[in-house]
Amino acid sequence: MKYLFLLVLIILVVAGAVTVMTEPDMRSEVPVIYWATDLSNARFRQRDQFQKWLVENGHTTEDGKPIVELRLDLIGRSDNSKKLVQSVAGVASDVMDCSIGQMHSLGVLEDMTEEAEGLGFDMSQTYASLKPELVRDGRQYGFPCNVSVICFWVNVERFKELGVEMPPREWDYETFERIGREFVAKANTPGERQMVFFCDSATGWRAYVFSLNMIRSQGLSVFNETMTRCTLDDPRFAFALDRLRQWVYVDNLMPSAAEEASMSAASGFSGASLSMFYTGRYGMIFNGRWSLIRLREFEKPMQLSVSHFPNSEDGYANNLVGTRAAAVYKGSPNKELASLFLSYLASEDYNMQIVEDADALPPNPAFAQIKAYRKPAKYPNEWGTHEVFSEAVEKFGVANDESPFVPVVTVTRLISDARDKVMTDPQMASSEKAAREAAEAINDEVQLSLTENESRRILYEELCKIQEKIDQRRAAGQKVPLEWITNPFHRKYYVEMGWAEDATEGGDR
Amino acid sequence: MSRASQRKRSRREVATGLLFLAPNILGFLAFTLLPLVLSLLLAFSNWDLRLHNMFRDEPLKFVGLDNFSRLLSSDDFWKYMGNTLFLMMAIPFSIAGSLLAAVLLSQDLDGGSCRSKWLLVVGAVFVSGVGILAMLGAGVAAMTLLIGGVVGLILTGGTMGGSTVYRTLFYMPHFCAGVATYILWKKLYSPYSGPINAVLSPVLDNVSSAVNSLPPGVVQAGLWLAVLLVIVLFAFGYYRLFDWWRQGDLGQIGLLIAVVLLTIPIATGWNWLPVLAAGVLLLAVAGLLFAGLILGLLFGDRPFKASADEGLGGAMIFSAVLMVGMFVLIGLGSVMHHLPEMATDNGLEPPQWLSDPAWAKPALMIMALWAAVGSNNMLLYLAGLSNVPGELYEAASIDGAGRFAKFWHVTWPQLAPITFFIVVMSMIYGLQGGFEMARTMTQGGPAGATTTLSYYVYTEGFETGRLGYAAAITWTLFGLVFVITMFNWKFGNRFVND
Repeated sequence: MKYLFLLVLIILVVAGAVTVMTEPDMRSEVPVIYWATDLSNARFRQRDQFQKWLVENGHTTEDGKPIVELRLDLIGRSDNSKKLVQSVAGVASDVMDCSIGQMHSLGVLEDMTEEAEGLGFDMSQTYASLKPELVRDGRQYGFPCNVSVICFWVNVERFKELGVEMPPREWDYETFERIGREFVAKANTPGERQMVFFCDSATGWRAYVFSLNMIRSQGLSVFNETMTRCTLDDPRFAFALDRLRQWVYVDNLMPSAAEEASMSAASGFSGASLSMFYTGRYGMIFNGRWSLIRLREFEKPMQLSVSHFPNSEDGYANNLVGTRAAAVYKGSPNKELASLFLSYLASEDYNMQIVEDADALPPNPAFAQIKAYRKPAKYPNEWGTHEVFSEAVEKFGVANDESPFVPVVTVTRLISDARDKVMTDPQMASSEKAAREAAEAINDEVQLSLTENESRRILYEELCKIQEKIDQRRAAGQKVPLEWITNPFHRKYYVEMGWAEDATEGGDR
Repeated sequence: MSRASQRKRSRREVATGLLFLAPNILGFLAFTLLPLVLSLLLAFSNWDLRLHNMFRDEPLKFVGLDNFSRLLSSDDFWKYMGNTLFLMMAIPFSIAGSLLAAVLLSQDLDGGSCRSKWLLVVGAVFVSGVGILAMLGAGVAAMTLLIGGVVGLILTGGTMGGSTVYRTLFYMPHFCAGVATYILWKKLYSPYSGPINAVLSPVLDNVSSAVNSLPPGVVQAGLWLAVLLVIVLFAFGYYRLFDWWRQGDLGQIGLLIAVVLLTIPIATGWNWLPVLAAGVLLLAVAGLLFAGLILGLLFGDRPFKASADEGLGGAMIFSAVLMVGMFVLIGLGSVMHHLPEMATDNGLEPPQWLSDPAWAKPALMIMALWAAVGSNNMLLYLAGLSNVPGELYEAASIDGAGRFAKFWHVTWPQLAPITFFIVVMSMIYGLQGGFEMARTMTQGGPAGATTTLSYYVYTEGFETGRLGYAAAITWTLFGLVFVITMFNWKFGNRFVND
């Protein structure tokens, strides 16, 4: 038996040695950096293109090879826990696509401000509205892989076929409802189960965008100006919840979660929504420019148009803008090489690939103005749609308000719970009650985070004093210095309403 | 062989044995014991990933019982505890299902028996019926074809292959990967295109027409019938407990706990009834019965004495069964009251299962029940059944016992040790479980309706990063599991040995 034991031990030791010897890193002649990103065919092309870009830009070894090898660490789009655990444990990928806010709160991201200026990927190279997403305390921590904004894609042929008025580029709720009601009335047979909807369902992240855009159009946001208090305990949030419910359960403009579950095959980007849109079961889908990746794969090119998110009458037109940002891990042994990758993201090569692949918007707004973006030669059916997305970012785009006192994932979960209560069972909670409960729960989380961290409390108290001054000035009808405001929505809103004291200069935080 | 060489050899054998065990022991120490101890320490600290990780130098503070006190005063914790306990209500049903499956599968199902021939005929009828329908192009009846075909094939295959086929089929859910079955069930629960609602819809339509054809008062009388039945069950429960107490079969502790369990449905359910008078009636009659019980206990004759914890296990099971029954009746009564208004001309709507907060938990329970019936529990019962001595059945037959009497007086007591083991393990798994199901099917929603304690641990630990707090939840859960297991061990074990 002991010989058997010895034999097993020897086999294990040899196998271990072979594993170590054959590890991928050991076979590379140059340092290897890993990019934690989502699973997509485009990532492989981008990886290969980065290697070429390195050579073309002189980042080579003596024998002319790229000075670094990029490898992909593909992670499910919704699986953030892997990145989180790896980051705090010291073993995360050198570059990662992430929410800068969340990762910065963990302290795991490298400050890239100097590198960004030196290597040409500073904030001047991307949309100004993304600043709250990429910059913390005046320091830049990442650069966009792409820029996302969600609008309504319209199946033009379906509207023509039904003889329904085409959704305009900009509209209000009343127009949205009028056209929607006409669409579902004409597209469905009375007395039978509804099979065709005006647009796809507002569930998951899109539901959050719906809620946020709707409250912001009324001048409300999730947090106050200094992001010290959740302000959702407000009739305007209750109104948004009620309106959403009306669209789903009264007007039947969009399917409920249950109806969507019955129709969806839940595969690929956006599940079955794109197939339903293609076949005319949905007149519109609320989705990003990236929808084109799959729409272009369908047999017949679709006649498309794009409409902005509707706005309340005389309301404030806005749209949530976000980014899949790449950041450099603080524990990376190859930070300098990793920063080259961020430099590549700002390059023409990369931007053009995003333009051509239609993987949302290119990081650099200049590339959203060129002909290849606006009128891709291969896809004339898309002409007139692309510029709506760039307009949505430049004209209406506002980043999410992420309070430093509560994790964004907690905020979205609590808002989602409020919406679930009203949407699925109004008897469970009225919209007013759901709004109040959501605000209370978020504010409880804020208070809890203060007990956990003394330095956070000091910041909180400073900001509360500023908030007090803002409230006093607003009550007296006076303007407010822009530098007092940290909430990205309120900053933009104050400027455009003429409530900001220094709207053009000196107000930048 | 000298004593010295014997000792040497013995030492060498011990050393060899330890060497073999070393990987396991080291693995246990490194990957189980150490993390366990660390997690206990963590539960008393303010460890938050946002403050304490390799890039932050914020000192870790020991906060004593702060995490636990916060936990116990948190509405979320109690809500998720409620969800976990609600889902655990499937445990008695799953045990009963496993036992039933085991009893059925222990029967002789070989091809020669008369029953098997009948099964073969039924199976053949199903299969040929399906064939004819398919030839006639009965596309609209696709679900009927599918279900009929599957049933026919199972019956036919079972008849040819004997009980092995059935046992394999019943055990099949246990082979399947969890996530795959969850996705499958998600499709089955699909409200408008899933087969479950496809089957339910016509049934509900018929119920709806029947309800619409009756005067609303007749249907709503079901509420009063339910209240009456609850009172009957309640009175029966008190009577049996009092009788056991008088006969010396039940001690004070058992009586107290059983009475509390029996009273819970009345104390909580009277307020749920849609008609106030019905709730008040229920409360009043229950109050009178309770007063009667107290008077009986104080002044009644008790010829036989018992120790304080005598008969606790049996009394608890008895009360728990009645409690579930009373809850079901209260729920049914409420449904009957609302039925006429629900039964519109379009018929009753089948549930929206996973997207409705009221139905999401029952949906997960039904799925868990399906998986549990044919699980290891069934195998344990099958093994237990094969060990029941045949002479006990023979003796029972000689005494004139029928099928049910044999089961109740021979099979059930003989299986008591296995039942005890299954109950203990199911409660442990029940308290710890629900994470994969909820993560895959509902993401803990809608509105947190399917978030269990284990899911809560995940969200606190890996979404918000509060590891100290998450560890406190875990240890609270452990405490709960430990207390329940000890309780089971102390009282359930005695019940088994009795």
